[in-house]
Amino acid sequence: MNPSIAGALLLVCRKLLTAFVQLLVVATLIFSVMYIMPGDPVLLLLGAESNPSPEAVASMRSQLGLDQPVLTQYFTWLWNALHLDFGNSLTNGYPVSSYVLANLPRTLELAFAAIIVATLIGVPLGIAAALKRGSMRDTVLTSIATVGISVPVYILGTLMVLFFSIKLGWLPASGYTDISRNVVEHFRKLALPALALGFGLAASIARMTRSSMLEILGRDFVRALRAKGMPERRIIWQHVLRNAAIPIVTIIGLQLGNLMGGTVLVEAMFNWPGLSTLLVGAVSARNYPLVQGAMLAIAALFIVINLAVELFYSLLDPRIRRKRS
Amino acid sequence: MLEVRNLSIAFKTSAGLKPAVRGIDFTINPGEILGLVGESGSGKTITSLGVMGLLPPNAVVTAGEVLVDGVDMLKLSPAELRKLRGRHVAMIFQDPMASLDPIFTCGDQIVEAILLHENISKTQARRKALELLEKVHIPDPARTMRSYPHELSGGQCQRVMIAMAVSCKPRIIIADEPTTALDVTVQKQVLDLLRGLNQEVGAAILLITHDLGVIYEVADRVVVMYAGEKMEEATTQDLFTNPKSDYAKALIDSMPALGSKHGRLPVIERDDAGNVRSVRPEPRIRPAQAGPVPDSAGRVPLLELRELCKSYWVKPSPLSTPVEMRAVDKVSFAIAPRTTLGLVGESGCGKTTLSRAVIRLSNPDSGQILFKGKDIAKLSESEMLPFRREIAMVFQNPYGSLNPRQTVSDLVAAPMIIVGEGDSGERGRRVAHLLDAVGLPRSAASKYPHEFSGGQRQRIAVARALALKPSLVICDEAVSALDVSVQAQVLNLLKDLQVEFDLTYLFISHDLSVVEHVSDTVAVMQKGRIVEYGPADGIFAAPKDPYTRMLLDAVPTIGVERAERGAL
Repeated sequence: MNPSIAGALLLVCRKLLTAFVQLLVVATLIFSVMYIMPGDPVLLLLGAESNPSPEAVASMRSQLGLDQPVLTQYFTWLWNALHLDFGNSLTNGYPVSSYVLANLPRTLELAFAAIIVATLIGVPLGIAAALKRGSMRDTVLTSIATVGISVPVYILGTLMVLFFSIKLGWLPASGYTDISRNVVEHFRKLALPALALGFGLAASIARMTRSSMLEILGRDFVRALRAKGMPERRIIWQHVLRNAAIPIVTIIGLQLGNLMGGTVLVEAMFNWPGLSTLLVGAVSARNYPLVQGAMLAIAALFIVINLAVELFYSLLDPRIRRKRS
Repeated sequence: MLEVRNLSIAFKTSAGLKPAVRGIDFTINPGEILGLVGESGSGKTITSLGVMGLLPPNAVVTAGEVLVDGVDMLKLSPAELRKLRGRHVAMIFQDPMASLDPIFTCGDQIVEAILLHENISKTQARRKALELLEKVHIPDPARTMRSYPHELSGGQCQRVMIAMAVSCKPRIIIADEPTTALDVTVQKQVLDLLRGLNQEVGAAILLITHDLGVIYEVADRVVVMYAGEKMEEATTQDLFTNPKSDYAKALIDSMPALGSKHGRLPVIERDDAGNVRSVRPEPRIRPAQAGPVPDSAGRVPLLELRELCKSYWVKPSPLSTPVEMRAVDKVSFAIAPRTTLGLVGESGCGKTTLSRAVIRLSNPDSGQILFKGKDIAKLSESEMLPFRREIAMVFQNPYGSLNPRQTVSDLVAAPMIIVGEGDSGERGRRVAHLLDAVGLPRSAASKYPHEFSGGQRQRIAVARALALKPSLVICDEAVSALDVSVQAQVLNLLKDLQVEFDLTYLFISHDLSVVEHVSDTVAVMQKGRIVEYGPADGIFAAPKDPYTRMLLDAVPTIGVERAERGAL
């Protein structure tokens, strides 16, 4: 087999295996955290105030499988989780997986929309600042980026609601409309939470783009390209940006991963029914199976996104692609 | 063809303009190779960048003209200038690996250079690129087309750069230290190639270098620069037989050359009026308190290696089993006390791996390291401690080997603090004594490394190495990063210290002239093995191994003219 293809395959297999092991470790942690946490789910379920009889408690316990040895519980849970069966919600008995599957695409959609906003703003700003290093433009852009990083998302969100929905009345302040019911309304409601999240993230992407571009602009080969007579614009877009891409892709990927569980504030503020909303609700209701299911889904998304980012590196940089060989 | 008239360039600093180049004039005629020689900081690179209009943002041309076929490059618009670059004037840089974009294949980069200036199809450009690679004698041009820069050696990368530079048949090629980062044998090939292309393509070459040997081998005429000013312009022949300026004379003298006698190297000095002259300092006399010279005759060698081996395991392809790469292969040699063993070889031959194994920074696989007769190859970390005091090391890069956040006194005292020697007063006295010994003022103690020049920093590194009164000092390319005149100072210093402190040196270098100058015995290393070992005089006078002969042949020599002049 062609050694470089073999190398690429080997790389992918190794990454997949690592991802699986990571997921297993996370799953174990999630299970044990739930086990160690104070409070008895059975009492909670039966209503501790109603003082349930010991028989009722015992029968509920065996019904939930909580009378089994811990290890048996763990392996049963893991086995079921592998089949996407996270048990049933303690509050209404519906399967957890149906909740997770319903909310997961909404979180993904919000996260991707926010990251696209952030990239579209951050990368060009970073380039603009880097090309005029030390100029007025650089100073202004860098200061805006610093402010952007330090303003909490709920303040930015509130300001945007005040401006765009209350003052101008362009966009709805909150809520969610399913795409199958009304496409336009769906995206109108996506806009504000995505912008609010995206602006904050754009700031750090801009800073990373700026410093990474500056590092590459100082390299010898850029001078060599100029000596070849290549137009400056082409040097920037074709050579410098591609070389500068790895740290930028890294930070975009990390942010996307963080968004999987990190949209709590925005989801709550804009009434967006995503995974975070689900998780917060489940935690306050001590709905253990739902908490476990939501946490595992978030962790899995995070790991998958990181995997995708790492594989993307080797597309960007031949040195990573071939170094493994 | 290229005429530089009264060119002045200055750096913008917070204190106003600081001149870097002052009123330089020179002309390159068609088909000629003009050498521009000077030490680092003399302004030769900034001159070439000024010619290309590629000055860094903090530098400006303050006066002068750069005429290419009568057109002043400095007055052109960026777009006009760009058309001239690559097509009329091409450039080759010092570090070939860094001058290629790491994420594009070499073929794509040559094709890109061709398409910038020629209106041909991509297929035609690829064919042309392949031809160019053949012309620069790259082995397997088709594979090189598909290779990324990191997959090639430095010499191959420089050939790719040269192929790119000649791709549009430029009239002038500016080569800025094109061989400085390469081994001598590769340097010879690249210089031969440049000279051949100069005749074949007919391009004039501006060859910028600090290496007089390179100039002597290749250039037709030479411009000598010092501190931003032109010192002398002469034909190569004249410069070496009859240098007019004091500086050129001093520069030529300070360079150790093959076949020159042992002794002290002249160094360049500036007097208060700013005039330069060559001075041959007297050797220092062994201080009385050092006691009588220890009698070393008939005693055991200070360091003896027996069949020392160190391997690395590398995977040639991802699916294959690792294979053994013998970086150090059954190396045996001995160094008598108070003598110097010069270890020469090209990059990748295992010199540094060997030195790291000797001070046990890495563990040798097999073999013995006898230090004062005791085998230290298998000692544990704690058993090694007393020996660590006895063996010190001086590294190549004086900019990287000194912690920038420590003062000189902290740096030099650090080894004493590590082994817990003396109180602070005692350490202070010893630091002062060491600074005296390496020729730095005592006021240096409270300063930081960035306040010193490269040569001064290497003196600090030497002082630190001597802090624990070692008997063996390993100098790993200790003078390679320094200018010739500074190199001469440091080499003189090392010789003085050998006498004063009874030191034994393991002197590792790729530079044969330097090794000949300092060594009593020489070991030549190739691919992990010692191919020739013996007294320095014998090896340099009558090398037996073909590899040693090849190395010696590749060194650019300026011996004849200098000897004629009777300078040494």
